[in-house]
Amino acid sequence: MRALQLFQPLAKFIPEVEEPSGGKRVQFKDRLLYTLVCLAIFLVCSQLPLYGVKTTSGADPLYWARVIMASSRGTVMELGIGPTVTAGLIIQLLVGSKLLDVDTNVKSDRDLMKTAEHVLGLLITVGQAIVYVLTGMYGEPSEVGVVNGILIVLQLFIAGVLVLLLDEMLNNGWGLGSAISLFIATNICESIVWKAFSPYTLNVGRGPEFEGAVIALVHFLLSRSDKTKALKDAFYREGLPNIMQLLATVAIFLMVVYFQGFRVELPIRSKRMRSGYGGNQQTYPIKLFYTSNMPIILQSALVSNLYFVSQLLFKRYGANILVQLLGRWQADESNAQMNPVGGLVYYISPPQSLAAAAANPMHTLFYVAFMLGICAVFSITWIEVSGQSANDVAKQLRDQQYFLAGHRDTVSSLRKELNRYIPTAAAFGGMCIGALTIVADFLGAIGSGTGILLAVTIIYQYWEQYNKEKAQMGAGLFG
Amino acid sequence: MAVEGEHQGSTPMFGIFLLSMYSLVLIPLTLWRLGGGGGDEAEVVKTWSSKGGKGEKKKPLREQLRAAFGTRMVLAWLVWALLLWYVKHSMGGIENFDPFAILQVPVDASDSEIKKAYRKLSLQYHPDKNPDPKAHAYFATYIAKAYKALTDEVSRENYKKYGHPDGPQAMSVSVALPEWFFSKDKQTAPLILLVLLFGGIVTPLGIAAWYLMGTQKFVGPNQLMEETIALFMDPRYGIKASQALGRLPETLVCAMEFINLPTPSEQGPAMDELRKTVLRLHPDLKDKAAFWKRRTSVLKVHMLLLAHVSREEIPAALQKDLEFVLTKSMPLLQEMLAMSMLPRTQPGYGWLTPAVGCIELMQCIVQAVPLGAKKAASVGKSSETPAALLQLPHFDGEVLRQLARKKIKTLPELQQLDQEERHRLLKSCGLSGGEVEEVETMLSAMPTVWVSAQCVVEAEELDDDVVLERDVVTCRIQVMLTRPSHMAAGFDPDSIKGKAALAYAPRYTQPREEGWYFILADAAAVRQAAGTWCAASLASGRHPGSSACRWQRLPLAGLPQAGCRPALHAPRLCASGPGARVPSSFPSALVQNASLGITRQNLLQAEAIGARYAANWSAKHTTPAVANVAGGGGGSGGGKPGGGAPPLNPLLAGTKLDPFAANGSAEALDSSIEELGQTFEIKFFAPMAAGKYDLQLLCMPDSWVGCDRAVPIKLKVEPATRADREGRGRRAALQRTEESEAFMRGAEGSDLDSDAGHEEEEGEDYDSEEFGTEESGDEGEEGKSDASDDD
Repeated sequence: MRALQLFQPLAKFIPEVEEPSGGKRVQFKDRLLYTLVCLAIFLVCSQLPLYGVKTTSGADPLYWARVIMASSRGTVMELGIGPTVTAGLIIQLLVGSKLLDVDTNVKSDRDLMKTAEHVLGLLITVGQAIVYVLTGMYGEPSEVGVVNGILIVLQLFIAGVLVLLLDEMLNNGWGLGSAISLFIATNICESIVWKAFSPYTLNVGRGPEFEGAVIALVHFLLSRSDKTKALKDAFYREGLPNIMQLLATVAIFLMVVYFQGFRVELPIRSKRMRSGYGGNQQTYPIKLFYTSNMPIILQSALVSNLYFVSQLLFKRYGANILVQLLGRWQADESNAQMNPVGGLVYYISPPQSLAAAAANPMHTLFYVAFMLGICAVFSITWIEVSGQSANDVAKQLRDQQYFLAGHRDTVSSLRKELNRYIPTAAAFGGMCIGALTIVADFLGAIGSGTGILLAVTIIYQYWEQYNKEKAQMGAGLFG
Repeated sequence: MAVEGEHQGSTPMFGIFLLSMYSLVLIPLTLWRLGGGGGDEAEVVKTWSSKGGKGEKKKPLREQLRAAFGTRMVLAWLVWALLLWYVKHSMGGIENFDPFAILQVPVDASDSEIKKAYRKLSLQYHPDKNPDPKAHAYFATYIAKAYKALTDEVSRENYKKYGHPDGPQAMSVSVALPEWFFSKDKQTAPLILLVLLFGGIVTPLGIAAWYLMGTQKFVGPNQLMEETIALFMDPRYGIKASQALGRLPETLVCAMEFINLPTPSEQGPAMDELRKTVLRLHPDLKDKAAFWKRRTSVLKVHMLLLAHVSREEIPAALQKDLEFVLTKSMPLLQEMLAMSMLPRTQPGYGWLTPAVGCIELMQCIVQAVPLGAKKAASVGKSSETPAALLQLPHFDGEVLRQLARKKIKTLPELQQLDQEERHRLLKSCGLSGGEVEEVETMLSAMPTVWVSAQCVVEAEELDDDVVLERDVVTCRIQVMLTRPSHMAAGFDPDSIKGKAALAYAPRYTQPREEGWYFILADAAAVRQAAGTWCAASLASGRHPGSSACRWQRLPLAGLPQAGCRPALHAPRLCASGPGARVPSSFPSALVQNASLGITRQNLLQAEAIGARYAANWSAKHTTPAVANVAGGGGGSGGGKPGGGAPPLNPLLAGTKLDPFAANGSAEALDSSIEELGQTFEIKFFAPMAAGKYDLQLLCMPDSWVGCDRAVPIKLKVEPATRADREGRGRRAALQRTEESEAFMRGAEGSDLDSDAGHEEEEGEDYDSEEFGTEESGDEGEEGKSDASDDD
């Protein structure tokens, strides 16, 4: 019996969203509508505070993972899409490494794989919720009480089911893209907009200042008599979002969009078309960002998990030399956030600023090397796991009766030709993504380098999809 | 992290927040308005009106400013200024630690100055001197600190770094919102959360969702109802292959938009009136139960359309409905046009008859011309029909009859007349001075197009003249457009710029943008149909001057063009094509014409070029050019009243000039032909079977009657060999050796002798004469050679 069969009896307990009836494509406007509704539910959930929570102040051990989990602290979206993503990754890895035997051409197998993902996701949700309550993230367990504790776990579980359903709904053709990427992008964009226009004011002694960079600029210009100093302050103030960071964010955005256009186009021919000429000439594009934002997601998943473990260990066994080698942590003076100050995790964490990078070149060098290396490695691994490798692409093209123009019509020649490009593109693209992240971090782009990279690539994917939809929709003659 | 207190509001800070957000909207908006955006009127230009053109040309800065700053804009800026003043005013309440300000010394003060200032202030505030506890507090927290910040090293460092001499201060967080927002009441907290959730998230998204739901019913670029499109596709009500102009309204009125049109009971008497009018116009409708037995709204729309095109008075109660019908019918017709262009018989081949009909119906509706008058016209010869004359303001059957008595039967004839002569003539036909003026305006606005087309196959890097079966052929079209108004003195060609040109359409309720359709049609099937078509043409009896013997001869010659040379009864053409015209208005099952491709263009660029051309021409040819021009066209100026005629405007409709021909260009501009005319492309699939095809490029404006033009294109399709199909044929060989230019030339040369798919032609060359014997001889020869080619 295959391992996958184990999930068979569970299938009927897992809620699921039906696919559009009859394989019909849902209209673009409808899909936009459903996507908006999804977004509304997500946004409301990430504002809705959890009931039964005693306290949410103090260091946030998951601070580093919040970006890719699209989660907000102390709200129903505490776990965000974390469990779903983790479950998906685990199953994908198991399938990719052939530990789990799945034939993706068989529908029942695909359904079972989906069920397995869901079961795993829900299990992770419950497990994580229980761990959170027990480790005192919402106040001491004794203080919270059994009833409230169960209530919290229940709330988080329901939110987990909700995210799961939303994701499935969007994936099944009811919406655009996937809920995961939608939520990540929304979360990051929200934080960027917030940092630019936040109406919060802080007073650290030199009078109240706006948190939002743009608002602060106006405020400084209006309130200060020395306009040059006001401008300088607005552009370079420390500890709070400033205009330079905002500009850096915009610059990174444009840079990523620019790089997205880099691609190699292999001319391919279809054997089905009668005349392989003129309009039938097609190309198979191999993008520089072949794996898109995947290396970044994997890298941040790895690093944030490492942070989480290291923080917990340091809290408990701070004196142990091995634990200290893994990472030493120190609370930030301004907001009690734990920051790595030594050990391995310190060297894989981005420097706080350009000045900090210059002050500790060893750290900087290690960080850069780590980022570039890990991104390239993850990128190359990912193409193998997710079925985008030269071998798989060659098979796909062959199944669709395509062959490379000017080459023999065999899988091996296709594979040989594709192998010249795909691994290079994947590795180099991964490194580019890593490099961009580093640049973003050094420039101090709002929402961390990882975050903005994720957001831009996701938004770009949406843009591409929109264009595709438009091209398909554009039956109208005189659009 | 030491956060003092809960969230507190701060009204003055809220002012700043508001001001910033407001500026972020207002400033870009203002810049956009200043940059010339927003003004819709500015983009659509009346290219035919020299006065309007001048006004449009260059506005003085002040006027531009005035345009940008409407009352609303000024008001918005006033609000902005008020907000700014308020913020500035209330700012005093927010204190800021600035040691220099506290010590009342300039920023670049020296140590001694600082000391002096400190001493002075100490005398004033020191607890030993001043018993007031407030003074004490002020001294301790401000003066002493400020002094320390400027003198003590550590404090100065702290001041530089954290903005306060004591180092990082306890941080207090508040929200820039009015204070009342944050009452201490515990009860309101969840309420505020609720308000934020619903006001900030649910409501905006809800509105977006509602909007999307609302627009759901409307689809496509024309924003029509889904049901309408379904109805148009319906085999009962929808478009049929043979549906020509006369029967298209039947489909048009079935649109869901019209079906949903309410007919309140107040409109009863108006409807009766309208019914009488329609019955008077079309007595034959009386017995047609199918016409009257329709839904009231559909019947109303149909009757309104009929009354409108006949220029009948519409009862006031129905005026609103008429406006709706007229505005909606344009996008509807466009949709119908798109539908008739849908590929039917083979890839890319749609129905031509309804397509041409749709455009003709657009023309008729815009200029309010009866469909019956338009019916018998052909695409190339449309200027010769009574419809072309009827589109002029204040023209009706009576005026036409009067004109006919004075030997003016077609529009070009009227256009060729001297202005004074025309005035006299029109006055004698019973038009008043003002009315004649309007006719003059319209005549001067009438467009004329010059078209040249060429078919090539676009390969990757090079163009190939040889067309193989099922190739994707690109038809490159070069267009120039002129109007008589361009020749008027004082017309500035540079004034032609903007988004689109405005057509002269006094009968249409809205300003009408001029658009041009270019349809590539395959008229091959006409060959078999020609005989039938001629019979129909004769039977219809609409061409009083047609001679039966010629009609008989032409089919015998086996010409594709045969049926479509009604040149005999039409001495002058406005925009004529010599080639086979597609008998679009004759519902004949035999006619299997197909439309290959279509594009809609606004010819503003072509017009700008045309205007410059015209200006250039009039500068060069003040007197002696007429003969040259007449000769250059390839025909004799028979239509003109003798050689001694006053120099006619060569760019006026009906004269002979070919700007694209070699001799035409020689005297045209200093620029090359490539720059002459607006260029664009139509892509279509070559036919599946090899052979010779006579294609036609039909150029039709959507808002003028009688300005159509048909340009013949010959396409020779060669059989594709197996090697060609597999992509290693001759053409592939061409590509591999792209670098060696010489080889390429050689390979191409072998096929060049056959003129496959290549034709650069100008309709004007074959322009007809009054009795056109010489011309038709030409034509016959050409046709014969064609025919023999075909065999």
